[in-house]
Amino acid sequence: MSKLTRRDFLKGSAAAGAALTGNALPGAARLLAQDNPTVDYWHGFIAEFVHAGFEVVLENFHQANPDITINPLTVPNSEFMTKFTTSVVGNAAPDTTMAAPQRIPDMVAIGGLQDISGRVGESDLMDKIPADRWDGATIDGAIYGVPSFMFVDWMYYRADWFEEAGLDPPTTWEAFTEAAIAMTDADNGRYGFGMRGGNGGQGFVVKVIESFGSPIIDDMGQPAMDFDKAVEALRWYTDLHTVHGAVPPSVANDSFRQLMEAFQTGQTAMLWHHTGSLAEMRTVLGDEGAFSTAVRPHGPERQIASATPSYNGISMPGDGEEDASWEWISYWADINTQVDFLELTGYFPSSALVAEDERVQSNPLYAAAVATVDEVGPPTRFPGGPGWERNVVLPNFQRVLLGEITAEDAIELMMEGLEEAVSG
Amino acid sequence: MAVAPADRRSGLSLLRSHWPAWLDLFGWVGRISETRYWAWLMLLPGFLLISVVIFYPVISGIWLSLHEYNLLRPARGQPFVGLQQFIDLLDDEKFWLSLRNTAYFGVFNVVNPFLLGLVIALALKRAVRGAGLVRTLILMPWFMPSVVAGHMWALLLDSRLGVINDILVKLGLLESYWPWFARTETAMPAILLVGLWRGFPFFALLLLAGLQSISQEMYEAAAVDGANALSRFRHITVPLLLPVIVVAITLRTIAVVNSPDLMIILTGGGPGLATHVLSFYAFQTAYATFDFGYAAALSVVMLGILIFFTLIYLRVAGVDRD
Repeated sequence: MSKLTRRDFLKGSAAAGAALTGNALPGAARLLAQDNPTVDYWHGFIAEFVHAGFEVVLENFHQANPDITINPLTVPNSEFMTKFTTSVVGNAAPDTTMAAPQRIPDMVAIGGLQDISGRVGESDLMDKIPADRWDGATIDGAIYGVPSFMFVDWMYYRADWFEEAGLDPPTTWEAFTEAAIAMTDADNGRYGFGMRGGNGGQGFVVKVIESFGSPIIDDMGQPAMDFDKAVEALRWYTDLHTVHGAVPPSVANDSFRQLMEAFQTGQTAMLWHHTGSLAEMRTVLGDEGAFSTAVRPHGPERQIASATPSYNGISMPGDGEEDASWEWISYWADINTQVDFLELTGYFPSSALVAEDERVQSNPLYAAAVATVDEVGPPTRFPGGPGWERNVVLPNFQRVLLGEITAEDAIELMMEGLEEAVSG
Repeated sequence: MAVAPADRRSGLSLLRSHWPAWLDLFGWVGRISETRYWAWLMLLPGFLLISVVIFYPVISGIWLSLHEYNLLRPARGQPFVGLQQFIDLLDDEKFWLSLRNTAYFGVFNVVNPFLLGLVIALALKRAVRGAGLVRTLILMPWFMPSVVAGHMWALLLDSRLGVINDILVKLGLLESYWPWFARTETAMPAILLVGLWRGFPFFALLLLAGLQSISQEMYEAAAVDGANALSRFRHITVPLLLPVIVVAITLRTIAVVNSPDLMIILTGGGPGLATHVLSFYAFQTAYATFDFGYAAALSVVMLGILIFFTLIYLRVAGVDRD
């Protein structure tokens, strides 16, 4: 056996060091990642009660999957696409992310979501979740997200005010106008309807237009707005403010927070939102009958509503983290997970099995959601859609509210903008 | 034991013959340090840093503005389109409206804080009791992140719960609460009010530093010669403060024109397009429609406007004469 010289020892040490730092370490890291993967997850659970529900889901997941660590990051909804786009362009997107259906076409187009059709097909998720609830995350037959919970559109109304006036919650657009006018007492700062004219109001305008029989795009993804029907829709909607004065004068800047405050402080009688705000409403107004929920009114052609599943998708998982990422996003479709989340947050389940649960069926506040969820589908979505709605629909809607342009002018501008958004 | 010089030399030669070749670099550095290239070598790290931090983004932005680049249409790639996107800007009504709003916003969001900052700096220059504390307190709006300040002012001016509306109604100046951010005629002035609150400490701080560098003896000599307060301000304070004023206004203008944060928080560019400024338009074009090429063209136009403004301003202020 040859003797180990000092030089040999130093050479060996150097080689070992180089191997560890240069070559062996990534391999070791990969091995470590496979054994104890960490999955980044971007979500928008900001409200305290929603975050509490999320913590429970995290804890339950960790107990079921002790080897997988979830690294959550809260991204406010308003900033989501800015941050997500930047992360995708910079090749630093999270492993997994929450994804709204309206954004999924854009997220897919920029290369930020993976096709998970194969994994979905191999799982039993299709048995748990109705086929139409995958539509919002399906593009050209490929699935990009697992439905976790749903935002089902409905209407809050002041039950005590309606009872006092001897009115039932309106079910049609004409009855809605009458109720909004009847509930308005501007001299005392009370208005019939809390209309969203600030950021986020664009989605309501699109749904109103569709409820009057004008599609936005056709099956081929081409612009298909019907000018006359769209004008009629926009005129009806904006007349609630410009003609009837049944909407607070701050309408053009009223967004979610302002509208919730107005309703909760007794300044508006009706408010359109979705199941996601139920827990907050109950916290502030209690369950004593001050408010209730109702199905949103129907326009001439269809209900002014959609049922919007929230999805979880796989974005850019690191080496060895693909399986863990799938475990995490598919866990959200688990029945127990959805029940836990529903009870803590009021977020409506996407699973058909949970929707038939006694706790959902027996709660009268959920009746409007149960009645709506099978009637309506996800909101209209197409690549460039959110940008068109935000940059074209919203400002022109506001200009009509302010009396700067007519409904005809606004629809013309919206149709021009739509052509541009679709054709690029 | 002492080592003889001859032994030291031989020791060094022995060491040289064994050290690795890369250590000769130090010898090269030693040689160049005695030449005129040494200064350039010393500038190299700074130049590299500036290249990475400033030149690369600017050149990259200009390059992008000459290419079509829409993230939603990756199949198109990034074809070179020359000046087409700048030509498109000429027919873009929203661009011209944003440009007009930017001029309005830029001028008043610089002039108003400047005037208030000047008044406060002049007041703070007097050595009164508690001036140090006041100076610190006055800086607080500047320390506050614009996001926090924006949300705070959104609440103060809220049309339902806003304290300012409440005060104005109680004073009889308003009949009822006014939706400041929801009306075309008051949305921009309301944002300018927030900008005034945020911006005046910056001017007060810089101008106060400038004022304190002016010798008191000059004022005393002018007073002896019969100059009144206005004359002293006009003929001593303003000329000697001018370099500080120029720097402060230039920096503030650049910051104001480039920052859409108040619009994003308070109005979202609305109502309608009432507060739609160029920086907001570029931001929305990039992150709502993903048209990074067109957004880059908008940004390059902003860059050009700011360079033009700065040059004109420096010339008018007479800084280049010195």
